[in-house]
Amino acid sequence: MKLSENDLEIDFSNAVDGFVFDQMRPALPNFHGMSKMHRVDFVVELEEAVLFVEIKDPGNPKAQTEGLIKFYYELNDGTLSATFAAKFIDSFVYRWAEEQIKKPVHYLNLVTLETSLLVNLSDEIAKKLPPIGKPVARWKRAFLENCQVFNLETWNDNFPRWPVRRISSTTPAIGE
Amino acid sequence: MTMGSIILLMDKKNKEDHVRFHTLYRDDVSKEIKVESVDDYRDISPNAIADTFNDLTKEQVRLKMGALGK
Repeated sequence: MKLSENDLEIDFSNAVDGFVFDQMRPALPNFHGMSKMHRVDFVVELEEAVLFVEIKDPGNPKAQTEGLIKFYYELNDGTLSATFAAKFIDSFVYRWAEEQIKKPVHYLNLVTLETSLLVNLSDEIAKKLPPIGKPVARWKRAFLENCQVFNLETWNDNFPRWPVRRISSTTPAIGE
Repeated sequence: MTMGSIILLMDKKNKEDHVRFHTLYRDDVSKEIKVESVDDYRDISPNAIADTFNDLTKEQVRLKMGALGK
């Protein structure tokens, strides 16, 4: 199951199902239809879990300086992590309303940043998702199992069955 | 200082500013402190900071996701 977002493509080789969740044109097969709700890029169903996947590609060789400056401002002032959190929450609500949240959900983000920034961004996003870093004794189940940010290298390093590649590149992204 | 901070800094300063990264490390053989200088942060090798973050990432994946994606 190959899913792509602009110049990046991930092959979820062992997925049961998967689709581009962020589809806002009515003619598309999985038209979302709620423009006021934030949306993750992909929803992927595995035998034992569901993946919500969000992609940002500031490392795209064709990225424009203006866009990069905006991206890094939002990274530094917390806007980016707040948006990532909102995307997860709204997508979860949408899929719950569809009665499609029946397995543990993992939130995997692919952001083409240098490695040293990924852990901090992961923590920032996780802190903005319920239960906001404070376990609630009354809860019977986890809202999400894992929230992490990867770049191409760490994604491929950790998920060999879901290789990501840069489409414009002639060679696989491993080691890029 | 990260690449993102550099880009924001460059946005505020003269476009002709030049940034260079210097890493200090102890040579395994000679035990001397050495310096490596590069123009691109991503060219730093070995990068002990990135290696440590990589280890943390792997450990979290192992704990939270087990064999998923493996």
